[in-house]
Amino acid sequence: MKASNSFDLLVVFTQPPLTASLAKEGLDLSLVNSTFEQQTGLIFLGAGVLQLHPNQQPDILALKGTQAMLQALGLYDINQLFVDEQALLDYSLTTADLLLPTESCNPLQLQKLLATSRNVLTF
Amino acid sequence: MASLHQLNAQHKLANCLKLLAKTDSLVLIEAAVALAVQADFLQQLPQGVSVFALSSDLQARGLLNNCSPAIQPLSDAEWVAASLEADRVCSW
Amino acid sequence: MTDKTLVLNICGAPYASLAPLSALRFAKAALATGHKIQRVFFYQEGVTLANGLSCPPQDEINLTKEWQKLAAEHQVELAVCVAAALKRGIIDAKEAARYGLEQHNLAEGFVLTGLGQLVDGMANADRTVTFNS
Repeated sequence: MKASNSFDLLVVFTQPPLTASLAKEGLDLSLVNSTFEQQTGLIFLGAGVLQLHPNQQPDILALKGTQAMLQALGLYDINQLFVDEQALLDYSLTTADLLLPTESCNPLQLQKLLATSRNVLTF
Repeated sequence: MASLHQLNAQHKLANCLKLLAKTDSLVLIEAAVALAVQADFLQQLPQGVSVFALSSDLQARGLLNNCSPAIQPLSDAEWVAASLEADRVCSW
Repeated sequence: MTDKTLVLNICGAPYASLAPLSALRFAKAALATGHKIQRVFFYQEGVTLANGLSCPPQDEINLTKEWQKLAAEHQVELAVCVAAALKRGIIDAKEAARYGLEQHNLAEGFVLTGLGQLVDGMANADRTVTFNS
């Protein structure tokens, strides 16, 4: 798997969509990190996998959501997205259901991502 | 390449456990020091993880004397040293 | 193990969380043991520490003043994420003029800056430590 890569920054999303501004501020930071030519990896952990759930309609709540930012990740060369395999099971999802291409990781693979990254921030 | 996981709330433990490797360390700070006196807490951790709790946070909450002997209380200076000894700090 | 450079990233609000207080304890212990705090970055709800109009009761700790004091004594940069701050009503004179507002409230010693300052700090410091809500 690609998880042997070392990231300057690993950004870990732990909350479901529309939990205050958490995911948006995590994505803002990911994009800025990338503009500074820092390698950025994203992990969607636990309920954080729901950030990638399709069919989100944040406008129903007059909220902006993060879909546009997620779609922009590729333009910023952020292509390494990892999801918590157990969380996919917990929420009856597969990687094929998600908004973006991701790699499903078991606990040891997730722990290896952390162990090979310089910095980590959780949102 | 060990991480120091810094946990400040009990409800974040489940996510922390997903990334906590057996070679990592865990420091309980703020209200999460309540875990240091919870009966089944240590059994949830992978074997080999060093567990610390901030002494001032324990003492302020009346928990210093009830803290499990397997959990090492840290002064603020020792907390800084542990943060620098690890390869990174993962704050939950 | 002395003389390391640290960046602190404070993401929790004062009074609603313990983040600014825990970070203050950490910073004091780090400085007392010979380390350097290169920058303190305030992000998410942490930006509200830079509100110069907060008036906690006199018998409670004034975290904004405590951080100002520490920063002045040890030349620590207090960098506040401008986007997170503006959204939460923390604004300096320059931004107030830009948005046509008559008031501003950024506490002395704090500067509004971009997220790049956090990225730069994380890339260059020996260690970054985050304090969440």
